[in-house]
Amino acid sequence: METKWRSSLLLAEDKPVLLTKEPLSLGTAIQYVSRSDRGAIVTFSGTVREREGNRKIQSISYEAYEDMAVKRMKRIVGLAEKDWDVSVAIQHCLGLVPVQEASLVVACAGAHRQEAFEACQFVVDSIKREVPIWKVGFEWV
Amino acid sequence: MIEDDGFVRFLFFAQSADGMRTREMILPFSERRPLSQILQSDPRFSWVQERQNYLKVSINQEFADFETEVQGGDEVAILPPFSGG
Repeated sequence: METKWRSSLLLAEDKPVLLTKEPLSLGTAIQYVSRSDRGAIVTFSGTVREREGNRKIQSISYEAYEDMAVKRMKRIVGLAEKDWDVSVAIQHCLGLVPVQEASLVVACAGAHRQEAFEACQFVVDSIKREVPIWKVGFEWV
Repeated sequence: MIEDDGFVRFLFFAQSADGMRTREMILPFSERRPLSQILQSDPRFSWVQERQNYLKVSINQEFADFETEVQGGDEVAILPPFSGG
């Protein structure tokens, strides 16, 4: 288990986009986008809520059309980097994600806060809109 | 894309996999024609046919629509509304 987790961290360090069955790492995403000319890092963590409708859940299961999802996320990273001059890292979980754990992590680093905030909003909205990932099941309490 | 251009590969995810009761179908390719025509001509696609307003489609991992022409070797995916994040 520990070995797997380490390997996913290593993968995240040298790629802007990661789909993984391992827990996400905001720290690794921040590390990926950090540069000496970046004065602002904005992060987003999407976490699993304890309720789905009126019922309590333990976890959500995610599935993706993996090749296309990676392609779409790389495209979103490219657009954000071009339009706001930022560095971007995205991680999304697959498989079971327990309540309170992150299913999505985004980090955007810019020279100043304005572009980092705007780019982060764009990236999160774009992921929701155009990346083929689905919630496919809930573990009920 | 699949290597053999004599076939078209269909992929189904999430609700579309449940609705179609499969994740993959490989059909022999006969002639280049719009996706909607392929779906109409094969009753196994009735679940998709009835939900064209609701589903998205991609061909070779790029967004397309039901009027996009499909050719041999294409990978067609039927995509329910996304719910990632």
